[in-house]
Amino acid sequence: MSHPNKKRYDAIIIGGGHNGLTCAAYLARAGRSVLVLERRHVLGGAAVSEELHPGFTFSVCSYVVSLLRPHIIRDLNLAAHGLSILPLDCSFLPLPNGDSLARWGDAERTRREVARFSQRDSECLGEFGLAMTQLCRFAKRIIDEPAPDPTSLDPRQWKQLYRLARQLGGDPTDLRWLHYKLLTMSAVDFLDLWFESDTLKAPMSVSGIIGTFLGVRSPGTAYVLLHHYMGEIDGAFRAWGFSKGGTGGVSMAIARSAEAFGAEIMSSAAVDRVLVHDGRASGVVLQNGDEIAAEAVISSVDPNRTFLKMVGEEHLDADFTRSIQRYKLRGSSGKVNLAVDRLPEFSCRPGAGPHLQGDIAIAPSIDYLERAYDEAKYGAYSKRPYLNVVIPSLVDPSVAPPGKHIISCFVQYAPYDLKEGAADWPNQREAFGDAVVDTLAEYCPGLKESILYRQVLTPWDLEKEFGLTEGNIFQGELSHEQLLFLRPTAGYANYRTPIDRLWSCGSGTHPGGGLMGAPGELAAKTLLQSREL
Amino acid sequence: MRRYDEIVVGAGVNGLIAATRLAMAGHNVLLVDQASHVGGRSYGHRFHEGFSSPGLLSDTSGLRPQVLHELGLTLKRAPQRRAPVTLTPEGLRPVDAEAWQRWQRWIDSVAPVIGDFLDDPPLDLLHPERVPLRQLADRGWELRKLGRNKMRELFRVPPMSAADWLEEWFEHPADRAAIAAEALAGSWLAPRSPGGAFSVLLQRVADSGAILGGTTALIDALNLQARRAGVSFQLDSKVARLRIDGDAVRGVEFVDGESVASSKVLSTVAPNRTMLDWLPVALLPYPVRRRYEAWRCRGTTAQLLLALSQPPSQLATADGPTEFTQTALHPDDIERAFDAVKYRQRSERPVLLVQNASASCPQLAPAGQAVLSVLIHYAPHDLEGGWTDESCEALRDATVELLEERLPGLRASIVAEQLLDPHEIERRYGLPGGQIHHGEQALDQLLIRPEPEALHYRTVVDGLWLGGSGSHPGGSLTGAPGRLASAAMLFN
Repeated sequence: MSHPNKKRYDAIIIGGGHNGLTCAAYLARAGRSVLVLERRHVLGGAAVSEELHPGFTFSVCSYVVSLLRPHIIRDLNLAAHGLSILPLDCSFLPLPNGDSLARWGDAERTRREVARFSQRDSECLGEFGLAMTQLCRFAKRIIDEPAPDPTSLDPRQWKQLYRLARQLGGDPTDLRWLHYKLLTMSAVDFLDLWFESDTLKAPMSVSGIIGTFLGVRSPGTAYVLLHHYMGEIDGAFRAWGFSKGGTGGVSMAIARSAEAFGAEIMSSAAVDRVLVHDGRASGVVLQNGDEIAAEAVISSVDPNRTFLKMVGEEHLDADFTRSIQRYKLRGSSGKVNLAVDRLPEFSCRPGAGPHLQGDIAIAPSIDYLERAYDEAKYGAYSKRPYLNVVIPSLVDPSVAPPGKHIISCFVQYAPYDLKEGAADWPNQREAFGDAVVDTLAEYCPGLKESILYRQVLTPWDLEKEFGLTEGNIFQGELSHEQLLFLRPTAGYANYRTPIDRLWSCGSGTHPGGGLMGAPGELAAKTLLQSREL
Repeated sequence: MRRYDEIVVGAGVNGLIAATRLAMAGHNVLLVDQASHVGGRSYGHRFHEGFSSPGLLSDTSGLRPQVLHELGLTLKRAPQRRAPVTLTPEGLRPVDAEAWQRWQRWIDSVAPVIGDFLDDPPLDLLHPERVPLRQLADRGWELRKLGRNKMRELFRVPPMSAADWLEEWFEHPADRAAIAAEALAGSWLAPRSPGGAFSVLLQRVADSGAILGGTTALIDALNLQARRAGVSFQLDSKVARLRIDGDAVRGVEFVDGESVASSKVLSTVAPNRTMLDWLPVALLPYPVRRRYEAWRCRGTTAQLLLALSQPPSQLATADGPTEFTQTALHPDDIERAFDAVKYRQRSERPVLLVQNASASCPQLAPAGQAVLSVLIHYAPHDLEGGWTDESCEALRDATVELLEERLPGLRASIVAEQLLDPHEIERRYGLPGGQIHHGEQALDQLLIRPEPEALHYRTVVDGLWLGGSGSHPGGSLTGAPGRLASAAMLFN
């Protein structure tokens, strides 16, 4: 699509995903002229709703809203622009032996369920929740601020580090020890500090490996357990839930907000590369050849794609290129989206109860999860994978015709690098989809017969369709060596890049992936504070 | 009742060093051990007439130079550091020389800072407000001198997996496997486990060249120096509990009922064994108790000792016999071997660290014959079904089969053998869980070791100190904990 006027914008944002749109909204709100360019025909990136089958609106990739920052919701008036988050109040675990465990927002109800598996664990739940809430306080400061660089001599960085140290310094020794353990232990080992029951630990530990190429027993996976508890301290705004209209509803609300502030948004406008002259960005070139000029270019696309494809090695020094080449992307997840003609019936807890209105985990034991991981390590998708399943139509009837439903299955592990090579994914796609359906059908007999439509997204598809290099849903692994001041690489974790006037605002920057909006917001604020715009 | 200034429990390398230092400062020290000999995990027992083991921890290259210097030990070291060697089906493969040199230069460049980790009192990262400004400034300055890039690398590298980090330096998978196998031996980490890179880094920085004469020479020299310094010894004496006076530890009680009094006790035995088995329950506040209960000691090592009628010819090279080799050809060989442990199985195809021990220490075997010490990974302490005769035999057979594949003719040369399964290792060396380092070596148990209130060797219990492998800076054969613990006690 050809660009009609030869306008020069203050900022061009590459990618209309939720971070790009958030960045655009904040810049437009500050009076800057902003153009967002989205390659696909719909906005949202991986936070997108699409009617893939008549009458059924799928949250194609991202399927729950996690940790969308409350101050972003307020600043951008997202509620007025259609954001509506519906409660996700249950985590249901069906078990192969016909038993099941449901954990609820209601602590007492959860305690009773857990007590059936372990009396001791049910009594420790409260203590665990309290400890996690305390640990969250520190983590919350980390995600809501740019990451300080301890190798910097800049006094402002040191002031920020000092404030963080002061906060830690207010904690008793035991809590500090827990912080240390949380950051370094595996999810299972950390849970072992409180709990004994495998049935409880398995579904709890699994949040530690979402989007990683690690297992629940791998060191470094414990800290992600905080995610679940972060929402509770965000206050009045519910941070965990379903977005009405699918997760695309979040992106669309942000897009409307951005437009209300004056931003322009174009879809079906694929950017080919950034215009760079003498180490300085001056605009972009679309795939159709059109050039658009801007004072600043902000990429919400992952670091690999931004620097190695859109900028090009010729404009970057060898050390930086090497650091981006070794930035780990290794996608490990897939998605299977189903339209079904009736509500699935779980044989272990039959009926359309509230237990189906949250998320459903196929994670019957820690060994099961580790075996799923083992297969992926050597280049194969898990034949019996971990699934995180939601039936959004139960909570949001607008996404499916009456009586019919959407079943959204997040799957791990599906490694991008198959031993036959990533390009073999199209050959393995259907078998991978079958493995997912077969696994779920073990718990819901009758599932297969009810399927009206099936979409299978492998890491290869995530890359080709959504621009996520190697299918990594967080635009880069959330492992310690590429987090905080090292994300995506040392020296460029503060949204700047080696190219003057080129900035980053996607999940490949601090604080990383998930539907937080924080990278987009922090990038915009940092850019505005720099006074370069 | 006999009374001493200090009792040091455990006469391994750390205990010998600590006792000697205290005695050299004029203290009246008693060194006790449950075994009838000194040396702990580095003592080599006779496993067959004429053949001795080099010990469980038999790589002396990590022994801190300051230990030799401060104790006045006249031991010589090999002039060069040892580059790992893989025992492939086609023969010996040393790591690629060019890649090794390049990596070694990087290691050397950060060695001043990592060396501080090994040789200085630990930085209390959890209580930055308590760190003396002087120490913070010194260490900060050491770090800053490296330059910003290296500083960043020292944040980036430690949380990485060994596999990812080594892939940045070594192209050949066997080279990466060889380095990872040595560094991760005895741990509950595999090449893809985050934090493994820190173990690799520590081991490589600590390498100061093997001590000539091996563990035998080291233990003999430490023993001699301890006696010269005036340390009193009491062997064949197993501690039953610590002697309590009020709320304080004031000595030890042995299983035979005898008690010995002292102002302080330094335990070089595993921290959870010391704090949970030897103290009355009520003495530790619950939060502290919980940390020792959570101390992970999942042993993954078995050892096969082989008495051979001749040294394996394949290990002889133009430069002399190769002493240390390993059998993994790819980091995934180690990864697959480790997978089994997660399900409480032993590795079907284990990774073997093979030490041609009599090559550097001829007195371990009769002339012309040889001792091979094989550390088998991974053999879980909590094997499903337990370590029965059948499972031991299956482990032994899998090991010998792999050895025969790489060293044809070995089987026929076996004169005698002894397999130490993880329970035997636990029993023989007093190691909870059969864990060879007194506690798993992973980032979550290395930076604050064993727990925040025992970081500087003094525990929350008055009179009780910890100074073995379960203390900072960890468990390989460095002598660092014993050195630092005794220094802390003297400073007090």
